[in-house]
Amino acid sequence: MDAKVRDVMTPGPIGVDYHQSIGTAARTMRDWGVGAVLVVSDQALYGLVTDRDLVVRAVAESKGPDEPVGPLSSRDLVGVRADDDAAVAVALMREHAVRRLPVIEDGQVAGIVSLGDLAPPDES
Amino acid sequence: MTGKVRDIMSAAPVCMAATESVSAAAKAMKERGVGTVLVVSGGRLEGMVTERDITIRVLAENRDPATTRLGDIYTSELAVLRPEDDVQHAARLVRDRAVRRLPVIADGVPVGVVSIGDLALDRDERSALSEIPATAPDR
Repeated sequence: MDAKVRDVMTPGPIGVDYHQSIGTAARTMRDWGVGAVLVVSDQALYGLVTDRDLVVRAVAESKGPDEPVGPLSSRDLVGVRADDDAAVAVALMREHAVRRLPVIEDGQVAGIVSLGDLAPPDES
Repeated sequence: MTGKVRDIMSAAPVCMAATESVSAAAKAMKERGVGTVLVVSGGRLEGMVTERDITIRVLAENRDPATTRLGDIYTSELAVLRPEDDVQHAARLVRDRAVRRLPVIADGVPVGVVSIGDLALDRDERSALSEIPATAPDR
Protein backbone atom coordinates (compact mmCIF):
# COMPACT_ATOMS: atom_id res chain seq x y z
CA MET A 1 0.00 0.00 0.00
CA ASP A 2 2.14 2.87 -1.32
CA ALA A 3 -0.63 5.41 -1.89
CA LYS A 4 -0.80 8.66 0.05
CA VAL A 5 -3.90 9.60 2.00
CA ARG A 6 -4.62 12.44 -0.47
CA ASP A 7 -4.79 9.90 -3.31
CA VAL A 8 -7.62 7.89 -1.73
CA MET A 9 -9.52 10.45 0.36
CA THR A 10 -12.83 12.06 -0.56
CA PRO A 11 -11.78 15.67 -1.02
CA GLY A 12 -14.08 18.40 0.04
CA PRO A 13 -14.48 18.95 2.76
CA ILE A 14 -18.24 18.77 3.09
CA GLY A 15 -19.60 20.31 6.24
CA VAL A 16 -22.68 21.60 8.00
CA ASP A 17 -23.04 24.15 10.78
CA TYR A 18 -23.69 22.95 14.33
CA HIS A 19 -27.04 24.76 14.35
CA GLN A 20 -28.29 23.44 11.02
CA SER A 21 -31.00 20.81 11.15
CA ILE A 22 -30.71 17.03 11.05
CA GLY A 23 -32.73 17.19 7.82
CA THR A 24 -30.20 19.57 6.28
CA ALA A 25 -27.36 17.22 7.22
CA ALA A 26 -29.27 14.32 5.62
CA ARG A 27 -29.83 16.32 2.42
CA THR A 28 -26.15 17.28 2.36
CA MET A 29 -25.17 13.59 2.57
CA ARG A 30 -27.68 12.77 -0.18
CA ASP A 31 -26.68 15.57 -2.53
CA TRP A 32 -22.93 14.92 -2.21
CA GLY A 33 -23.19 11.13 -2.11
CA VAL A 34 -21.33 10.82 1.17
CA GLY A 35 -21.97 9.00 4.44
CA ALA A 36 -20.38 11.55 6.77
CA VAL A 37 -20.12 15.32 7.04
CA LEU A 38 -17.98 17.55 9.22
CA VAL A 39 -19.74 19.73 11.77
CA VAL A 40 -18.48 23.29 12.13
CA SER A 41 -19.14 25.65 15.02
CA ASP A 42 -17.90 29.27 15.15
CA GLN A 43 -15.84 28.58 12.02
CA ALA A 44 -13.91 25.82 13.79
CA LEU A 45 -14.16 22.05 13.36
CA TYR A 46 -16.51 20.75 16.05
CA GLY A 47 -17.02 17.11 15.11
CA LEU A 48 -18.21 14.65 12.52
CA VAL A 49 -21.61 13.08 11.97
CA THR A 50 -22.41 9.97 9.90
CA ASP A 51 -25.61 8.61 8.40
CA ARG A 52 -25.54 5.97 11.14
CA ASP A 53 -25.33 8.70 13.79
CA LEU A 54 -28.46 10.31 12.33
CA VAL A 55 -30.29 6.99 12.65
CA VAL A 56 -29.15 5.74 16.07
CA ARG A 57 -28.74 9.12 17.82
CA ALA A 58 -31.76 10.92 16.33
CA VAL A 59 -34.39 8.62 14.78
CA ALA A 60 -33.96 5.89 17.42
CA GLU A 61 -34.23 8.56 20.13
CA SER A 62 -37.36 10.16 18.65
CA LYS A 63 -35.55 13.35 17.61
CA GLY A 64 -37.10 14.94 14.53
CA PRO A 65 -35.40 16.26 11.36
CA ASP A 66 -35.88 19.89 12.50
CA GLU A 67 -33.62 19.57 15.53
CA PRO A 68 -29.99 20.78 15.34
CA VAL A 69 -27.45 18.27 14.10
CA GLY A 70 -24.56 19.48 16.26
CA PRO A 71 -25.39 17.46 19.40
CA LEU A 72 -25.28 14.23 17.36
CA SER A 73 -21.61 14.76 16.47
CA SER A 74 -18.75 12.54 17.42
CA ARG A 75 -16.01 14.69 18.93
CA ASP A 76 -12.36 14.14 19.83
CA LEU A 77 -11.64 13.37 16.19
CA VAL A 78 -8.47 11.64 15.12
CA GLY A 79 -6.98 13.26 12.01
CA VAL A 80 -4.42 12.18 9.45
CA ARG A 81 -2.18 14.29 7.20
CA ALA A 82 -2.81 14.37 3.46
CA ASP A 83 0.82 13.45 2.76
CA ASP A 84 0.85 10.50 5.17
CA ASP A 85 0.98 7.02 3.67
CA ALA A 86 -2.40 5.33 3.42
CA ALA A 87 -0.98 2.71 5.80
CA VAL A 88 -0.83 5.40 8.48
CA ALA A 89 -4.57 5.97 8.10
CA VAL A 90 -5.16 2.23 8.44
CA ALA A 91 -3.08 2.12 11.61
CA LEU A 92 -4.96 5.09 13.10
CA MET A 93 -8.33 3.49 12.31
CA ARG A 94 -7.17 0.29 13.99
CA GLU A 95 -5.78 2.04 17.04
CA HIS A 96 -8.88 4.18 17.61
CA ALA A 97 -11.53 1.75 16.26
CA VAL A 98 -13.01 4.29 13.86
CA ARG A 99 -13.92 4.02 10.19
CA ARG A 100 -13.41 7.61 9.06
CA LEU A 101 -10.68 10.22 9.61
CA PRO A 102 -10.60 13.93 8.70
CA VAL A 103 -7.62 14.70 6.47
CA ILE A 104 -5.55 17.76 7.41
CA GLU A 105 -3.40 19.78 5.00
CA ASP A 106 -1.84 23.17 5.75
CA GLY A 107 -3.82 23.40 8.97
CA GLN A 108 -7.13 23.01 7.14
CA VAL A 109 -9.45 20.05 6.72
CA ALA A 110 -8.91 18.86 3.14
CA GLY A 111 -11.24 15.85 3.10
CA ILE A 112 -12.28 12.62 4.76
CA VAL A 113 -10.78 9.17 4.31
CA SER A 114 -12.95 6.13 5.07
CA LEU A 115 -12.34 2.43 5.61
CA GLY A 116 -13.98 1.79 2.25
CA ASP A 117 -11.46 4.11 0.54
CA LEU A 118 -8.61 2.07 1.99
CA ALA A 119 -9.94 -1.44 1.49
CA PRO A 120 -12.12 -1.63 -1.61
CA PRO A 121 -13.26 -5.21 -2.13
CA ASP A 122 -11.41 -6.90 -4.95
CA GLU A 123 -10.97 -10.36 -6.30
CA SER A 124 -7.45 -10.96 -5.05
CA MET B 1 -10.02 -14.16 -1.04
CA THR B 2 -11.17 -17.68 -0.34
CA GLY B 3 -13.96 -19.17 1.68
CA LYS B 4 -17.72 -19.21 1.57
CA VAL B 5 -20.27 -16.56 2.30
CA ARG B 6 -21.47 -18.50 5.36
CA ASP B 7 -18.02 -18.04 6.93
CA ILE B 8 -18.05 -14.24 6.81
CA MET B 9 -21.73 -13.28 6.97
CA SER B 10 -23.42 -11.79 10.00
CA ALA B 11 -25.97 -14.46 10.93
CA ALA B 12 -29.33 -13.97 12.63
CA PRO B 13 -30.28 -10.86 10.62
CA VAL B 14 -32.77 -8.40 12.03
CA CYS B 15 -36.06 -9.05 10.22
CA MET B 16 -39.17 -6.86 10.42
CA ALA B 17 -42.53 -6.60 8.67
CA ALA B 18 -43.19 -3.93 6.03
CA THR B 19 -45.85 -2.44 8.28
CA GLU B 20 -43.33 -1.60 11.03
CA SER B 21 -42.28 2.04 11.40
CA VAL B 22 -38.92 3.54 10.48
CA SER B 23 -38.57 4.53 14.15
CA ALA B 24 -38.85 0.88 15.19
CA ALA B 25 -36.20 -0.10 12.63
CA ALA B 26 -33.85 2.63 13.88
CA LYS B 27 -34.25 1.40 17.46
CA ALA B 28 -33.51 -2.16 16.33
CA MET B 29 -30.39 -0.99 14.45
CA LYS B 30 -29.18 0.73 17.59
CA GLU B 31 -29.94 -2.10 20.00
CA ARG B 32 -28.60 -4.87 17.77
CA GLY B 33 -25.59 -2.90 16.54
CA VAL B 34 -26.40 -3.37 12.86
CA GLY B 35 -27.00 -1.11 9.88
CA THR B 36 -29.46 -3.29 7.99
CA VAL B 37 -33.01 -4.49 8.57
CA LEU B 38 -34.43 -7.14 6.27
CA VAL B 39 -38.10 -6.68 5.43
CA VAL B 40 -39.93 -10.02 5.42
CA SER B 41 -43.40 -11.29 4.75
CA GLY B 42 -44.34 -14.80 5.83
CA GLY B 43 -40.66 -15.56 6.39
CA ARG B 44 -39.74 -14.54 2.83
CA LEU B 45 -37.49 -11.62 1.94
CA GLU B 46 -39.35 -8.64 0.47
CA GLY B 47 -36.68 -5.99 0.71
CA MET B 48 -34.01 -4.29 2.77
CA VAL B 49 -33.66 -1.00 4.66
CA THR B 50 -30.26 0.42 5.62
CA GLU B 51 -29.28 3.35 7.79
CA ARG B 52 -28.47 5.19 4.58
CA ASP B 53 -31.99 4.58 3.24
CA ILE B 54 -33.41 6.12 6.43
CA THR B 55 -31.12 9.12 6.02
CA ILE B 56 -31.92 9.73 2.36
CA ARG B 57 -35.52 8.58 2.03
CA VAL B 58 -36.89 9.76 5.38
CA LEU B 59 -34.76 12.47 7.05
CA ALA B 60 -33.71 14.22 3.83
CA GLU B 61 -37.35 14.25 2.70
CA ASN B 62 -38.64 15.56 6.04
CA ARG B 63 -40.85 12.51 6.52
CA ASP B 64 -41.88 11.50 10.02
CA PRO B 65 -40.03 8.32 11.07
CA ALA B 66 -42.84 7.41 13.48
CA THR B 67 -45.48 7.25 10.74
CA THR B 68 -43.37 6.22 7.74
CA ARG B 69 -43.47 2.45 7.28
CA LEU B 70 -40.63 0.26 6.09
CA GLY B 71 -42.86 -0.71 3.17
CA ASP B 72 -42.75 2.93 2.02
CA ILE B 73 -38.96 3.09 1.72
CA TYR B 74 -37.48 -0.37 1.35
CA THR B 75 -35.31 -1.46 -1.55
CA SER B 76 -36.71 -4.44 -3.41
CA GLU B 77 -35.33 -6.48 -6.33
CA LEU B 78 -32.15 -7.04 -4.36
CA ALA B 79 -29.15 -9.00 -5.46
CA VAL B 80 -28.87 -11.83 -2.95
CA LEU B 81 -26.25 -14.37 -1.92
CA ARG B 82 -26.46 -18.01 -0.84
CA PRO B 83 -24.42 -19.33 2.12
CA GLU B 84 -22.50 -21.65 -0.19
CA ASP B 85 -21.47 -18.88 -2.62
CA ASP B 86 -17.77 -18.05 -2.80
CA VAL B 87 -16.66 -14.89 -1.03
CA GLN B 88 -15.14 -13.84 -4.34
CA HIS B 89 -18.62 -13.87 -5.87
CA ALA B 90 -19.88 -11.67 -3.03
CA ALA B 91 -17.05 -9.18 -3.60
CA ARG B 92 -17.87 -9.04 -7.32
CA LEU B 93 -21.55 -8.39 -6.61
CA VAL B 94 -20.75 -5.64 -4.10
CA ARG B 95 -18.52 -3.96 -6.64
CA ASP B 96 -20.71 -4.43 -9.72
CA ARG B 97 -23.95 -3.41 -8.03
CA ALA B 98 -22.27 -0.63 -6.03
CA VAL B 99 -23.94 -1.77 -2.82
CA ARG B 100 -22.50 -2.03 0.66
CA ARG B 101 -24.67 -4.85 1.98
CA LEU B 102 -26.24 -8.00 0.54
CA PRO B 103 -28.80 -10.36 2.12
CA VAL B 104 -27.99 -14.07 2.32
CA ILE B 105 -30.85 -16.45 1.52
CA ALA B 106 -31.11 -20.22 2.13
CA ASP B 107 -34.18 -22.08 0.87
CA GLY B 108 -36.00 -18.78 0.44
CA VAL B 109 -35.41 -17.69 4.03
CA PRO B 110 -33.06 -14.84 5.05
CA VAL B 111 -30.18 -16.22 7.14
CA GLY B 112 -27.62 -13.41 7.11
CA VAL B 113 -26.16 -10.20 5.73
CA VAL B 114 -22.76 -9.62 4.14
CA SER B 115 -21.36 -6.10 4.39
CA ILE B 116 -18.45 -4.43 2.65
CA GLY B 117 -16.73 -4.44 6.05
CA ASP B 118 -17.02 -8.24 6.27
CA LEU B 119 -15.31 -8.46 2.88
CA ALA B 120 -12.54 -6.07 3.87
CA LEU B 121 -11.91 -8.14 6.99
CA ASP B 122 -11.80 -11.34 5.02
CA ARG B 123 -9.35 -9.98 2.45
CA ASP B 124 -6.43 -10.39 4.78
CA GLU B 125 -7.18 -11.75 8.18
CA ARG B 126 -3.84 -10.63 9.49
CA SER B 127 -4.05 -7.11 8.08
CA ALA B 128 -4.50 -4.11 10.29
CA LEU B 129 -8.03 -3.68 8.98
CA SER B 130 -9.08 -7.00 10.42
CA GLU B 131 -8.46 -5.57 13.87
CA ILE B 132 -11.07 -2.85 13.38
CA PRO B 133 -14.22 -4.25 14.95
CA ALA B 134 -16.95 -4.74 12.39
CA THR B 135 -19.28 -3.26 14.95
CA ALA B 136 -17.17 -0.13 15.45
CA PRO B 137 -19.05 3.16 15.27
CA ASP B 138 -19.37 4.08 11.63
CA ARG B 139 -17.35 7.27 11.74
